[in-house]
Amino acid sequence: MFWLPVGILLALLLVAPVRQWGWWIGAAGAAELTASWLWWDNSLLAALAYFSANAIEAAVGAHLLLRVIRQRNFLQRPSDTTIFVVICGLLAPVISATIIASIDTVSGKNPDFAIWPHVWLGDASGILVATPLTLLAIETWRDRSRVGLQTILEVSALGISLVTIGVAAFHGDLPTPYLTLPLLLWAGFRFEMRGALASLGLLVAISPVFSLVLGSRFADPSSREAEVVGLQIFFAVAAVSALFAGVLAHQNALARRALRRSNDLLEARVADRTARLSAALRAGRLGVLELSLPDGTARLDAAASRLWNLTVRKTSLATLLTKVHPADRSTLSESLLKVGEGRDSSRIEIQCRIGEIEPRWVVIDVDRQFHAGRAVTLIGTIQDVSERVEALRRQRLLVDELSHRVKNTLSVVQAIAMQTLRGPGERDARDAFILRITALARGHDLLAREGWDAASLDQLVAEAIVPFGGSERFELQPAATEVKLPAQQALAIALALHELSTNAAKYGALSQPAGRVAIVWGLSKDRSILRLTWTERGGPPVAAPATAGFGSLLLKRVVPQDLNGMVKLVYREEGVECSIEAPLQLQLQSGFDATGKLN
Amino acid sequence: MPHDPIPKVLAGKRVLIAEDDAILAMYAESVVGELGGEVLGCARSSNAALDLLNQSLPDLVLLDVNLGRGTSEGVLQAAQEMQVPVLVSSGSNPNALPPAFQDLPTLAKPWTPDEFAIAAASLLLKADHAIFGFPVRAT
Repeated sequence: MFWLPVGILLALLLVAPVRQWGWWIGAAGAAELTASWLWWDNSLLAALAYFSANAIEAAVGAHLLLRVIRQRNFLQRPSDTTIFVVICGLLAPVISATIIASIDTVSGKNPDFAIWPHVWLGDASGILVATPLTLLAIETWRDRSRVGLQTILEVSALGISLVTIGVAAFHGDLPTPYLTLPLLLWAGFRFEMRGALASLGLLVAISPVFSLVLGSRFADPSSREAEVVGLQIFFAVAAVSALFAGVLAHQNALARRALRRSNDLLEARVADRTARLSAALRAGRLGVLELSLPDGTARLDAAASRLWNLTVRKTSLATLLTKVHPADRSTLSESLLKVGEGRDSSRIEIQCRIGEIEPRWVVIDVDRQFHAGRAVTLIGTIQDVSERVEALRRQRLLVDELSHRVKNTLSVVQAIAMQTLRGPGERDARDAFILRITALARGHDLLAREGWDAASLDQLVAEAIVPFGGSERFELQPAATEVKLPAQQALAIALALHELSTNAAKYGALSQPAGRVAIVWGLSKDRSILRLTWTERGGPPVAAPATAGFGSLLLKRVVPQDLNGMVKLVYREEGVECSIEAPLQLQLQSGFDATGKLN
Repeated sequence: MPHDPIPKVLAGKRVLIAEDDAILAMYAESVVGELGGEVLGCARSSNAALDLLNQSLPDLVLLDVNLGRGTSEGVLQAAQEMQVPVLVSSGSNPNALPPAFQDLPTLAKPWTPDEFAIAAASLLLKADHAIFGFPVRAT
């Protein structure tokens, strides 16, 4: 019927190393000859010839298959399975069918190659059924894994159905054995190659039992021939179907496993990233908030919710606003609205207070997120900056207090001078001293007002000229943009202007009603150097003084050093001219060699 | 600076000095004296200043904002009720002054005798032009 031995031999050759093939073929030959001697009445020569045909068929099939697919197991990939079906199932049986039919024709047992189709079909179905089954049995034997209860139950149900339907079909109670195909497919798709081939094996086992022992429709000799052919075809079809169901199911399972693995990997990566992000947020004490503009809903993370004195994480913008300090409420809502409607840049920073009693200062940074061209979400962070704000407030208080003390101390110094220099000839010295102290105090004052960071040169000049007649006597030509000076430079310039003014009032342009002073300042092209010039005109003719007073000493020695710059004082006959150059330290903080460049 | 003799802008005027720092009070006294004024008294606290105000009617009060432990707001109020011109003297940042002191003629410490002379003269000029207690702008 089907020649299973050739299938088994083929499977053994596939698994065994090539150098062992001789042994396996020998063992198979011995087994077949023994069976032939026991059950069949072939002559030894004929039996040997038949077996040789089978051996050549199996060896050629195994060799070709291994050459093409380059691996032993063809049950893993559909393409390998196809190649197996073509080479071993369809082509290899041609060899043995041709050899055996030739022998039978020559010996006269079955003339005219009449037996060829029977042998071909018998071997083909034998190989298609037995090879995968044997291979699988070997694999299963090598790799035993645990089986769950559910699987056992399903396998039992499958087995019982298969036996029932198979028995009924072979016995003739059902019209055709093809009714078992769905069960084979079930087995294949559920249990992959193992299920498919085991079911096929079961069917194969049932059929001869019926034909040999219990008797069946095959028992009738007249119908036997046709029935056997039908059964052979059925088993070939069943084997191919089972193989493909199994291999496809295997592929499917592999794909699912790969998907699950990559999914697990992704999940792990996402979890890792989320954990790191939240650790960073925690370290920065940042909360996250998300405002949906179309419906006004708000989502906060735990930290943001805590900052906002809320217990819930999902709320509305309106609820959020009720928690904001009344003084900041409208500012916040307007700012958010502005960003949302695209009237402001996409990212803003808002500082506001949350809570009415003991409010906390927070900074909210939001970014506009677009969807289909429309801003739909504002997403960003919220940070508690109360400590920073409080520190700033304290610092401001401290600076105020300090400047108050400085001014008070300078007042005391003035008062002491007033009390000390009381002699008739000390009057001028006393006044000069008091004025110098006042100039110093004004410089300090200006710095204190701007938080000791920087003073505006424009303002500094404007205040310096007030005691000497202001804009009536001075012509100011400020720089195009406001110039800011750090504390030391600002005080130096204030002192310089005071000395120049004092001198002008005593001996220069300001000592005469028509005299004027022009003060011009500006920046160099690269904005790194400040230049200020003082030009007196309309005063009495000027001559360089014979001895240097404190004023000129201050201008030539102290001011350049404090400015990190240069002062040039020229006593022209038509009026004193002074030019001051200094590096702009607030804009160029590093690597500027002022003296090198200026000299 | 060539020193013109300081005009005696306070000639015949009586000045009350409210200043808690003794040296600064002495300084103010000297300046008032040089300008020809008469110092009615130097108060080192708000209470002392109020007493002096009640005892006599000065022509001008030189008022330190921080007097003793608190501000001199009470003295300012009393002086304003008595329509005595007040010249504020302060070492604080102008915007840090209490509201009552803002918009008043203020001398920023340390001030020079000239600054005091100019501020005092302009205040007294306005006071002299006041008719029945209503000040009119001196042009």
